[in-house]
Amino acid sequence: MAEIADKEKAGAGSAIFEKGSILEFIDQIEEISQLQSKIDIRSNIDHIWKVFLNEIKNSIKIDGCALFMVDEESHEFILTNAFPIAIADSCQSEIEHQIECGMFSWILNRQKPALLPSMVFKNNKTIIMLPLVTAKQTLGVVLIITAIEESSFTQENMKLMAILAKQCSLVMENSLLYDRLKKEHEELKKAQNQILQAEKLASIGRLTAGASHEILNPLNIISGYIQMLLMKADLDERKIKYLNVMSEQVERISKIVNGLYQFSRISGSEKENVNINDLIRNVIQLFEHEDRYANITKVLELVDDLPVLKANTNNLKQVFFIMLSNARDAMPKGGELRVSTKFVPAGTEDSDGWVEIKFQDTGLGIPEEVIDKIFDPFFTTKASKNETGLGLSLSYGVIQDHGGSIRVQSQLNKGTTFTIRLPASASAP
Amino acid sequence: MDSKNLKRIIKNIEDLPTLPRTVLKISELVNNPKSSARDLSNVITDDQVLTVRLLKLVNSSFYGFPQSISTITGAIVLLGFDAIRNLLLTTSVFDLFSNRYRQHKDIHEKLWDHSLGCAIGAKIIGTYIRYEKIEELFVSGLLHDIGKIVEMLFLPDPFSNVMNLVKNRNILMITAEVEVLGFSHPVVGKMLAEKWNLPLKLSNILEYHHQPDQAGRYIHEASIVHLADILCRSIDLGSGGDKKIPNLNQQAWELLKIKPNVLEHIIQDMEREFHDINWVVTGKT
Repeated sequence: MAEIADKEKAGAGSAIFEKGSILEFIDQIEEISQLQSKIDIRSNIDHIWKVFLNEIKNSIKIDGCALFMVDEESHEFILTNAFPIAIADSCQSEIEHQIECGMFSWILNRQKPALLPSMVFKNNKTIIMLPLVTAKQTLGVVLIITAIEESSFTQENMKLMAILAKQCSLVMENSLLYDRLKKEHEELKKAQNQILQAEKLASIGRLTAGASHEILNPLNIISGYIQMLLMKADLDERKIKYLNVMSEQVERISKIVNGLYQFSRISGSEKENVNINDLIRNVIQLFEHEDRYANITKVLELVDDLPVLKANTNNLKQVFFIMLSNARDAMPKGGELRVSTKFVPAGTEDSDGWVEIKFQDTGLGIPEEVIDKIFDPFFTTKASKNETGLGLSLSYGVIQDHGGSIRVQSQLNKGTTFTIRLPASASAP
Repeated sequence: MDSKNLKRIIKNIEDLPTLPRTVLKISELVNNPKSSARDLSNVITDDQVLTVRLLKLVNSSFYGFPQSISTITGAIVLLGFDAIRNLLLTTSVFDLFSNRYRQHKDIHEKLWDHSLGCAIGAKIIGTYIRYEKIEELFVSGLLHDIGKIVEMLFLPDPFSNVMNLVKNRNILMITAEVEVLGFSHPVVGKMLAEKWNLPLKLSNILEYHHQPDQAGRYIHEASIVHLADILCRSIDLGSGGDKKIPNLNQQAWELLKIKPNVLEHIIQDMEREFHDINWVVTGKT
């Protein structure tokens, strides 16, 4: 009985003592829980880290602190932040040591903060590992280096660290999820734009197919009569000049309309076995004699074992010609033109993979505000009157016709890359 | 008769086996956020038997720790203060089960096996559903039937009646208890937990391990122990005193979201770990 009375006394004493310290403890927890409201969901990991680093510094005396985040693809722990930055290497090797001896995975599995003697930092430093985990995933781990002896650690210290780690993980997960959502949203928007683009081009195509045919007929008649007039002997100098101008302009109209017609004629072109590499070499030869082409370095990276494609040689030739002349025009002061081919294996079973052709120039680049329009008919940035603005839309039509895709990436003053993919399933058996 | 029995227990509860002073002291220290690892370790190392047992348990397969832990402070800062309290509780509970009363020796031993099995089951289920504090589940499982021990010790004769009723009518012990005593072991267990100043959570789990859906905010924990209890009985790990298996509480089962095919793994793990841990806790090989 004496024992029990004794115990009760002690219990009562500690209850009073506890109330004060518990209130204090609750205050601290309250502060930590408010961190979440201080951090905008749009803030990046660096910003979140700054806030939490501060909070860790407020909670215990630390020598240093490092953040390791799990890389989404490699699933490795990557040192993301270190304070002070000078300890980064030591932190890295500390983690490596801990991974090697098995402690690291043990602590991660347990999902709770744990203290251990440091294996790398000298002078009896203690390290605290705070796993950053949520219900769904492991985000990373915080490594704290402190001079505090492990035996001086209090229950409160441990609990606060645990709550901090929880809060930090939640905020980071939110931010990561937000980023992912944003990225997905943007990709979706991009895809939607591509569909719109394709639809637009298709409807223009249907419209122009009919119209261009109707225009070409009367144009031929006009052209014929001009030729007949020019054959007359009694024309004076001025009349001949006028007729020549008319002839030239009719020629121009017919060129435009022909381009339109080709662009719109979606199918019907006969296909044969084509060696893409040969075709590219062929087209590049066409440029060899040009002065403007002289100060451009040409790099060909053509992979040998490409499958032979079934394609329309003339149409593809035209596309490559357009790609090369665009690249040339984009580099008036010279630069490097890199043409490469490769085979891209299919990710799924219903495809035989792709032949990819890349045209990379180091030219002017395409301004962001017009990059969506470059495949539109009649869109051109070139001032010359010989430009119809049909080159790229024509290429688009041809590649579509082959069941392929054409994409563009461009950086202003850095250069432009056109990537064409043609399905290997169209290859000869 | 009914309330008389309960009163007798309440009156006698002062004389119930207490936990070792060390464990009570540790419990107090753990309740105080300002206690340091050193405070805790000083109390533990004063008791050499406890120190050895604790280190043995910490280094056992229970934790699968990659290196050996040689100091108590090291164990505290690695595992956390709560975990240490629960481990100490675990090692001391065994003494309570060790048989000082001949009358129900057989049941006594089987009940220990059943309790340890349930503790391991609770821990394994907890690991599967990624519950954070597995030591807590372990202790809860270990103590879930402690009320039966109390009845055995303080009401040996009515307890014999309970056992006879169980045997003759092949009913659940809890049914027989209510019939003979007017109360059942979960209530007694809760009273003991309160007397020992154990956390509210623990006493709640003990009280509701047969009706986990009524455990309020601790429904998760109570459900885990409930399921572990049933699994132990289904694989005959020890004996809870009767031969029937209580009905699985529907709400508890749905709450845990355990796929039926996982149950098989849980049971396999339970059988394996039972032998690993039994000797660590009891010191018997």
